[in-house]
Amino acid sequence: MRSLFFVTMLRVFFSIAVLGIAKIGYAHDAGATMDINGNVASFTGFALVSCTNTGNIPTDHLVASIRDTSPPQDNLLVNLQIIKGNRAINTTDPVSGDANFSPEVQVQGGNGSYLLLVNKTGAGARSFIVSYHCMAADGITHTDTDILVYQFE
Amino acid sequence: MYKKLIAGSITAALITAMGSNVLAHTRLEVPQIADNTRVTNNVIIGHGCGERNIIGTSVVFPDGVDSTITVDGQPHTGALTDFVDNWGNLIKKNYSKEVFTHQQSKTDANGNVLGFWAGGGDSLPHDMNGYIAFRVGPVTLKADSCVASVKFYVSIADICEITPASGFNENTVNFWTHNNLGTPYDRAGTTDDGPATLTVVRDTTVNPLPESCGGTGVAVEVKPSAAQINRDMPIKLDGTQVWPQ
Repeated sequence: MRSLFFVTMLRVFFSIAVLGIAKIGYAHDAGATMDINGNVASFTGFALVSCTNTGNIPTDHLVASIRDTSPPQDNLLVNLQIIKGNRAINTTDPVSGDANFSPEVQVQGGNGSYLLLVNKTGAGARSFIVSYHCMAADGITHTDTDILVYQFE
Repeated sequence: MYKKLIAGSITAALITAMGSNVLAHTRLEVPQIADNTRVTNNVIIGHGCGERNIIGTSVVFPDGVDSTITVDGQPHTGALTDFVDNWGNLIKKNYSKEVFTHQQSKTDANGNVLGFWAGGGDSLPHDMNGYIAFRVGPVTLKADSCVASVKFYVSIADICEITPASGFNENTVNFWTHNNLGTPYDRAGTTDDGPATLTVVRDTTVNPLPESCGGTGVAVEVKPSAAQINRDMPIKLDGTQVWPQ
């Protein structure tokens, strides 16, 4: 009886779960909303991207970009930074709400852990998508990419 | 002829009974992996609750945040990041309906996956194996540390009947968990041999130990906290708990 109840519960929730999954994009694109209440100018997302070999092919660099999917708002833009070792770089999506990402940026740090930050220029909710890819030296081969989110506040 | 049949039946029953005394613990198919390597793996459920089928399973890896860490058996007061660069969000369930029809990841507040559950469907017959597939991402052992291996203790509950915690017993759930955390999910017993383990071993040809380590590294072990087990062992669907209840 309880087993049947378990299955029934799962079925009830199944349609809800499907709706949730629909929000998720394809691999190595991650989306969310920063500062959902619109009052944290210092909001920062902080993650660790692990780049490793694909087969015997090592990572040469991490490439990333960010796209602000919220409607335009004066003086409110989203940024992304990559840091590894003694190298760092920034990119900003100059136009909010359009179909384009910010210019791609990359840090050449080989295999290992890259710090990835997202933030914005002031208070206000901003939905965004980050695209991040560990790449081999040929700039074509996608090496193994994993992400661990440390902070989103 | 009739006597032979009875004798055969008794023999079969005895074999079954003897077999149930040596039932396998639920374990990982690949319990040891190299660092910086992505590996497809399975939780292998070996039996039901006596003769009751398994209707679901809950699997929790230590999060490394408030986990208990030992180094060569001695308590370590520092963080897991002293030994591992990227632990967290490296476990990913492989979608499959071969055993159970429904499945979902378990995540922390930042969306990092630290386990999964699977359940529903026809149930896993108590006398058969169930392979629950998942993948382990590349675990990066800290290059400048002396860590030679990290063993993660994986807590698993194989559920035969949905009950509240007060209804946990050998007929309703098999716990492959620690016996001494003080949670409702603790395995009954005097020996802490419940959890499955996943050991990440340093590949010293690719990631050699620093010379200062003297050639032999240290063995690190990671066990979940009681708080994490209480938080992550229950099965929840979009915030609604379906086990235990």
